[in-house]
Amino acid sequence: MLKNAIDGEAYRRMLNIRSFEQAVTRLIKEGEVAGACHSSIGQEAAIVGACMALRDDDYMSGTHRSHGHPIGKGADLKPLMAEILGKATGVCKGRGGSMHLTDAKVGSIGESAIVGGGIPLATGAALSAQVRGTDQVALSFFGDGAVNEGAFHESLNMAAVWKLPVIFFCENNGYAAVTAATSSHGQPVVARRADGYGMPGITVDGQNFDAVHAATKEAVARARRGEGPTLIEAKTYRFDEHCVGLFINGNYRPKEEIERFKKEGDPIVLFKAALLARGNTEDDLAQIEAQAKRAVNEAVAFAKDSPFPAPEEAFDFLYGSPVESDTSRRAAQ
Amino acid sequence: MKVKVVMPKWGTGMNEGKILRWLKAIGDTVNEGEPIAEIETAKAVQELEAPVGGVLSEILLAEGGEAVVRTPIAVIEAASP
Amino acid sequence: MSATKSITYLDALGLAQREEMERDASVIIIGEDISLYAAGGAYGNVDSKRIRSAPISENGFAGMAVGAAMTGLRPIVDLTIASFVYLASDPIINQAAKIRYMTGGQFKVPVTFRASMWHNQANAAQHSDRPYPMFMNVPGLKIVVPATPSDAKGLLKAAIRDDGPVLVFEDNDLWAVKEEVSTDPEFIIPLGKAAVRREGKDVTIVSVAGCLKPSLEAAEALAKEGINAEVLDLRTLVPMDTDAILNSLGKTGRVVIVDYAHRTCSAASEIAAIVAEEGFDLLKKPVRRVTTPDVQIPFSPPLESPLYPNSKTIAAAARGLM
Repeated sequence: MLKNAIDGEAYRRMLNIRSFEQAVTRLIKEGEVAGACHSSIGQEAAIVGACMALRDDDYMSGTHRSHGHPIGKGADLKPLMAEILGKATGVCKGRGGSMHLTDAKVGSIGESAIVGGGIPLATGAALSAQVRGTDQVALSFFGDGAVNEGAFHESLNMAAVWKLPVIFFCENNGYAAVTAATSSHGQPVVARRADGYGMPGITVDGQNFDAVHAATKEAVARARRGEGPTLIEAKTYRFDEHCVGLFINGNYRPKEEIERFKKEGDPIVLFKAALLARGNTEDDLAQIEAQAKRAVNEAVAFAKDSPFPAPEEAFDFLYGSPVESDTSRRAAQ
Repeated sequence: MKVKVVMPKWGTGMNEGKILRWLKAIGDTVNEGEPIAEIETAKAVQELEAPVGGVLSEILLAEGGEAVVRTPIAVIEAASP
Repeated sequence: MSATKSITYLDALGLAQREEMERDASVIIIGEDISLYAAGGAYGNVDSKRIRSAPISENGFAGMAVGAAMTGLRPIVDLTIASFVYLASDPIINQAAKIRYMTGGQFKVPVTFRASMWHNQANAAQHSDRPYPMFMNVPGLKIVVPATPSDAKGLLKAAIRDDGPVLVFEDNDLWAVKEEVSTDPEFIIPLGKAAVRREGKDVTIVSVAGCLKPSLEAAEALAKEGINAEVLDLRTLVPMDTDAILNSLGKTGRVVIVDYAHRTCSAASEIAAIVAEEGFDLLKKPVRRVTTPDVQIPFSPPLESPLYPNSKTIAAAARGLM
């Protein structure tokens, strides 16, 4: 038990993300994972700092780099791991996979593989809260690439016009796949785009849990008070490749930059130092570290032991309201 | 503990690979992350790193052999679970 | 017998929206320029929070409607003119149609997208599209194409009440058509059911959307020649009432499919494929499609008008099967 319950939970979730992503990387190397996985290693503080400023009934949308978001918002690890392995016990029953880990129970409204696709969704969830008269807010995670999509601009504008309770949270890791933000942003500071839409925009150190958490809490409080949206730019860093195992011919990121972040900018190492400085002991922290490893091992075992979905189930969830018969459309041969 | 080494999938477009050269032989000790084979894909030649440390106990695909991604190509008897 | 009132197709659409908004507080409407209509009472006596007159941001507000539909609301998205629906294609196809499935059923997405199809009115190519064929190829979307005022009301209400994404494509040249329409606020036309508008035994004319009028006119002309045509108004494209099509074919053995969309991969093409695969033994003659050719829609009326199916070309097609 740490001196502060929030600190303990934050450390646990950040470690969960780190261990989870490491386990997924191992599973990929073992050939257990179909499709591509996009790791959040290095971005744990940005993710958890933001998520922990939200309530369970606040909404969250995210991206193809989806694993960290549900873990950050407190989702159970087992169904997430099972989903990555395509099992029937997966959180999306094997129908979404790594890029779409969505746990509605913790307020997630999806992780979109269309860059920027989740931004209007979260804005719409905020609209819903406003219409229904609740004090829920919505937070949209997106990367530095998404701020160039039209959906970003349209959503920020409408959020400002209608004072929607939404927090636009950019995990700016400096690169959209292999393209540096410096070569695709006319305005190099993402937070300053907020000025164009009439909302506050702030930049925070995304490797610092406390900074991210404080900034997000403030934005959430603004939104709950009915004062409208905020754009938060968290400067963070992706330690792994764009997707696990991806082979890139040539260096689009300087090696020394990657090494520097790994050595001096590891959000978990930095948070651990802060926790120790706050009077927590190595033993306390070791307990949480062991917990995280255990939880991830259990998740891997659960996922491996779970069955795949049956092919006959492929048509389940096709429609919200069932139809009598659409046999012509279902016929494949 | 036996750990499979599979033909890697280096990117969404890669569907198969060819072993150009094994850099280690059966019985060799390998460290996690150490290069153990040269693999040629449609786009490039790259080194495959050992997923765990241990002893290379089986080679399932000889030099020159081609396989679809995620096919087992070797086994490492891992030092620890 | 339930009460009816003589109203236009356009009024019927408005009435459907108004009734559904007054009935269910979770129904909201988003669209461009709607503040004007709201001021005139078009959406009924509802909280103004539920009426969102949006900037010109179709991609953005269509996506927002999906997010709102996932979180307790039932949005109607008015995309105005069908050609603008393309701007909303990504949220319609990649989000609305797929979210329920991709999340293993964790969400319903009860959103209705509606747009008006303009054709044969010298609006040129960018205002004359009929997008429904493209969206028919997206699993998860339902699509309705009402051809009468009653259907406009009943199908739009059904679309709004459906718990999934439904596209409603309305024919603008039907706006002024008047008919007795039920005033019962529970009057619904179920999705997926075609309607026989005229019974016959010699040839089936399957009509898509606003092709109903020229199809019925063609049937009249054919009747004078002793050819008895059955006219089947499809009403819903997805899910399609294939039973109705095959039942009619069973009676007549001949089918002409009429669609104002461009020929290639039109709704008519899909219907023709179904007939060929599932109704081959019922066919006495090959399937005939009467569609608009694959060319951009021109502005000048003498260029534009002859391109569309009309009662003469429909009748000629039917005659050719006898």
